[in-house]
Amino acid sequence: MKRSRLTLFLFAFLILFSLAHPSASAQGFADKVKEFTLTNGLRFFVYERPQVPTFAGMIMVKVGSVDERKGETGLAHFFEHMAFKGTSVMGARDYEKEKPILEEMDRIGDDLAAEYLKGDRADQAKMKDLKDKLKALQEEHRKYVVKDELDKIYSENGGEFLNASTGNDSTQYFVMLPSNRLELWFLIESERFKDLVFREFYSERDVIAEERRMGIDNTPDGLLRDEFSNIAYVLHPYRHTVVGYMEDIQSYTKAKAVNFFKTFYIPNNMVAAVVGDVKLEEVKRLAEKYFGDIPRGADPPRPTELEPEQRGERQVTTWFEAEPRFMMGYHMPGPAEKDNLTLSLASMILSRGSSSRLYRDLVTNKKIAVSVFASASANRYPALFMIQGQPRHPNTAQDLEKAVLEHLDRLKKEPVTQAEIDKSINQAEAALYRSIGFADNVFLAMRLLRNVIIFDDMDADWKRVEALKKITPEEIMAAANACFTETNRTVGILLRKEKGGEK
Amino acid sequence: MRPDRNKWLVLAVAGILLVAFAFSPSAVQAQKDPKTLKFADLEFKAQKPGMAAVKKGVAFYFKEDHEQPVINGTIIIKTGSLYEPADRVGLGSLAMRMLKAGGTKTLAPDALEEKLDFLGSTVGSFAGLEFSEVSLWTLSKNFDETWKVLLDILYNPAFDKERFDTEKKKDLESIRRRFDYPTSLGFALFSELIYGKDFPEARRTTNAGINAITLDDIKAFYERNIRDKEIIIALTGDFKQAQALALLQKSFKDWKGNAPAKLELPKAAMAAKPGLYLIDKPDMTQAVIAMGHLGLNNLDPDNVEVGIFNFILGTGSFNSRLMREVRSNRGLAYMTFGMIGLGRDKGMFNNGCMTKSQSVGEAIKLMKDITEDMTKNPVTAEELEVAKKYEVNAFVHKFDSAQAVVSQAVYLKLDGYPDNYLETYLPRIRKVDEAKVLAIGKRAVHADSMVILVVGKKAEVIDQLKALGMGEVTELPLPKE
Repeated sequence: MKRSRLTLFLFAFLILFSLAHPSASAQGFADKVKEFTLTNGLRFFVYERPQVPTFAGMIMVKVGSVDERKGETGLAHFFEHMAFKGTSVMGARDYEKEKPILEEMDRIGDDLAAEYLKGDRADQAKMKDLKDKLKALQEEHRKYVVKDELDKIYSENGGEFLNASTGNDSTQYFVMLPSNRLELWFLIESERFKDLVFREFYSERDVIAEERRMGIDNTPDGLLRDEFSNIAYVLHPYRHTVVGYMEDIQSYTKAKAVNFFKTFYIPNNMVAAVVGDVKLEEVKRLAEKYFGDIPRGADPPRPTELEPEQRGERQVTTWFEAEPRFMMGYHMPGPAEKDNLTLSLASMILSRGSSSRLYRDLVTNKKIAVSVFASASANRYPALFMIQGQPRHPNTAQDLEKAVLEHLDRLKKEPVTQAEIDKSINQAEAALYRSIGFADNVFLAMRLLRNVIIFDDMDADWKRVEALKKITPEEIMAAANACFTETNRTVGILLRKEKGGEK
Repeated sequence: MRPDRNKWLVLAVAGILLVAFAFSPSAVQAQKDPKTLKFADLEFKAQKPGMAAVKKGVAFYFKEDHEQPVINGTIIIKTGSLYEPADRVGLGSLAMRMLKAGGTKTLAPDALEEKLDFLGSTVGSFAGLEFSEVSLWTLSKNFDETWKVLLDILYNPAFDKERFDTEKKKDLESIRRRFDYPTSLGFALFSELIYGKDFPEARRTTNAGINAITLDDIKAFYERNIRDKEIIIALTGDFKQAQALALLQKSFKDWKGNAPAKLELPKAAMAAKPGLYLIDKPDMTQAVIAMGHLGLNNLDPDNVEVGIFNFILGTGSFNSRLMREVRSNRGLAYMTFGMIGLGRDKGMFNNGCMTKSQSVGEAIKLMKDITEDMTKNPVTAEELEVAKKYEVNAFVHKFDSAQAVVSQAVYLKLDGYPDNYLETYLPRIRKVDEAKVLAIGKRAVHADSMVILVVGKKAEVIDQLKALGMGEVTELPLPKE
C-alpha cells in the first residue's frame, strides 16, 4: 500500500515540480575552456569557474616512466621529487657557498654509484667510507638551505593539495590557492623549471627507496604488479614500474638526472591548466611574463621499442604473507585504433557496476571472488587489457582464472545485448559529470591535460563516449576474438608462502 | 637581513653607474623570489548551507549548484556500529549494506542494481560509528527515478536471504584479508593497544561474531535503529530548494524521526602499559612504527588551537618537524605523520612512519625526541607564523564545493560543535601564540608514556629496540583475526 502511494506521489511530483532542469545540450569542455599557446610552444588551458575564490594550477609534462632508458628506471619520478627542492633563490640561504658543497657531494655520489654497480665485487669498505663522507657533507650542506621553502611559501599563502604525481605517460605538478595568489603560482612554477637546484639529491634517493619498499616490496598488490609487468612486456618500457628498480634508484647520478630534466622539461613538451576563479586575460599576461622567456627545446626522444607480438602464454607466481590475488592481461591496441574503444566498451560490460557480468556472476552469485575488475587501457602507447580480482576462500586464484576465462569465451562466442551496450553508454555519459566533491578544480585540470597529452584533444573523453554509441555487438565479438587469445595472455598470481602450491 | 640589501648600500656609495649596473641582477633576483610578492589575506567568510526543518526529527541541509546537471544527496541516520551488541560486531555495517544489497519489496536485488546501473546513478548505504548514510549521485535528469529507489530501500527493504549470505561471506573474507597490508596490521593493533580490544573505536569483526548474525538480527536492527530514526537530508547540486523541500515533506510524511536510543558507552582509558611492542613479520624489509597514547575529545576547549600544534608536529607537510627531520633531512621514510587526534570520547595521539628494518631504532628515537621537544620548548616564531598563515589563507578551501559546505556543516552539528564554530575558527587561530602551543603539548602529550608498536622483521630490529633503553620489548603474537 505504502509503496503505491509513493509511486503515485512521485508521478505527480514529476509533473508539478520536477527538480530536474532540461539537460544541457552542449557537451564537452570546448565552450568553457580557452586555449592559448606561447611562442615557445607551451600550451595553456583556462577554465573560468568563479563560484569560489580559489583556483587550481597544474603543469603536466609529457614524460613518464615510459620515457626512461634501461638502467635509469624511476628517473621521471625521482625528478618529480627534485622539483620540490627549490631554486638558487628559493630554498637557498647562501647559494654561492652551497654550490661547491653540492659539487663535492656529486663527486662522491658518482664514485658511490660506480662502486655500487660493481654488484658483488663492490668494495664494501670503500662504499661505507663514501657514505660517511656523504653524510658529513649533508650535515654541512644543511647550513646553507632554507628547508623546503617552496612548500613553506605555498603553505603560508593558503596552498592546499600541493603535490605532484608521476605515471607511465606523464608527470604533473599541482596546487590549489586563493584566487588572489595567481601570480605566486606563475612565479614559483616557472622558477622551479627555469632555475632548479638539485639539492638534497642523495637523501631524496633514500626517501624514494623507502617509497618503493612501502608501495611495492612490502605490499601484495604492488609486488604482484611489479612481477607481472616484468613478464607481460619483454621490450616496451611499460614493463617497469613508475618508482623504478631498487638497483637503479641506488645508483642514480646527478648527471643522469640533469640530462633527463634538460631533455624533457622544455615548454614544447609541457601543457598547463588554470581552473577556477581567474580571468583569461590575466592568465595570458602572467603566462607571457613568467614562461615566455623559456626557450623552446628540441623534440624529446621517444621510446624506440615496439613490443613484439606475444606468442605464448606467460605466467608468474609470487609469494607474500597475504591472501591470494589474481591478475591477467592481454596486449591490446592503443587509442589510435578503433578496437581500443571497442575493448573499452567490453570492459564496461564485464565489470562496471554491480549488475555487470563479472561482478554479478562471480561476486554476487557464485561467490568465487570478493572483487573482480576489468579495464581497457588508453595510454600513449599500446598497453594491456587487464582483469584483476581477489578470490574468496576456499576458492583459489585458479578457480577465479577459470571463471573469468569462461566469460571472455562468452564474449567471443555470443554477441552482447543492445541493452548492455545502452547501459554502459549511460554509465559512461554520467561519469563525464562525476566529481569527487572537493578539489574539483584540480581534477578538472587533470582531466583536461590528460586528454591533451594522450589524445591531443581536450574533449577526447567526451568524444570517446559519443563514439561508443556507434559500436555494434558484432564488433565487440570480433575485438574479443582478436584480443583474448591464449598466446596473448599473461597471468600473475600471488600466494601465501606457507601454503605453497595452493592456488 | 638579506645579503643583497648590504650590497645595495655599498654600491650606492660607489656611484650611480655602478648602482645601475648592480641594479639589474638584483632586480632579476627579486623577480625570482616569491617572497617579494605581497598579497592581502583573502577575506572570506565561512559559508553556511541552507537549512530547513522538514518536520520534527527530519532536518534538511542544502546548497544549490547549477554548474553541472548533477545532484548529490545523502540521508544521514543517527545510527551505527555503536548500537550493535558486543557479540554481534559487524551487525550495523551488515544491516546498512543490506538496505541496498537486499532489494526492496517490489524490486528484487538484481532488478534494483540493473535499474541504477542503467540510469548511470549510484545509491549506497554504509554504517559509521554513530552516524550512517544512504547516499545517491545522479544526473539531474534521472533524479526522480533515483530518489524513488533511495526511498524504497529506506522504507521497504526486503533483506533478500541469498544476498545476506553473499554479504556475510564478503565480511568473512575481509577478515582473512585484514592484515594483508603491514600498515593495516600495524594500525589495527595500535588502536587495540590504546583503547583495548572491546572498545567501540578499536573492536574488530570476528568469524564467530559474523557467523552468529542472523537475518532476524538484521531485520531487528533495522526496526530498532534505522527505521523512523532521526535523520538529516543533505542535498547539493542542480535543484531548486523550494521544490526540494516540498518533495522532502511528501517523502518523509510518514517517517517518525524518533531520537536514537540512549547509549551507555565506556570511557576511553589506556589499555596497554606504555612501552615497546613488537610483532614479528619475517618477510618484511620495511617496518611499520606507530607510537602514541590517547588524544582529546572533539569538543576540547583547544579543538581549533590543536590544529596549530599538529601542523608543526606532523600535519603541515614539509613544514612539520616529523616530515622535515624523518623524511627530508634523513631520508628515513617516505611516509611519516603525527597528530593529536580528536574523537567521540577521546581520539588518539598518533605518530608513525615506515622505515627500512635497519633504521627502526634511529626513527623511533628521532620521533620520540621530536614529540618530547614539543612538550618542553616553545615552537619557533617562524613555525608558528607559517602554521597560522596557512590556516588563515587556506580557510577558503574548506568551502570549495557545495558538497564540502554541506557535509561539513552537517557533521559539525552531529558531533556537537557550537553553531558559530566556523565563524570563531579564524579569530581563535589568530590568537594562538607559542605559550598556547606549548600548553597543549604539556597537557596532551606524554612522551614517556607512549605505546610504541613495531611491525617488522624481528631478527633485524630486536637489537635496535633493546638498545633504545626504553625498557623491555613485549612481543605480541600475530593476531588471527
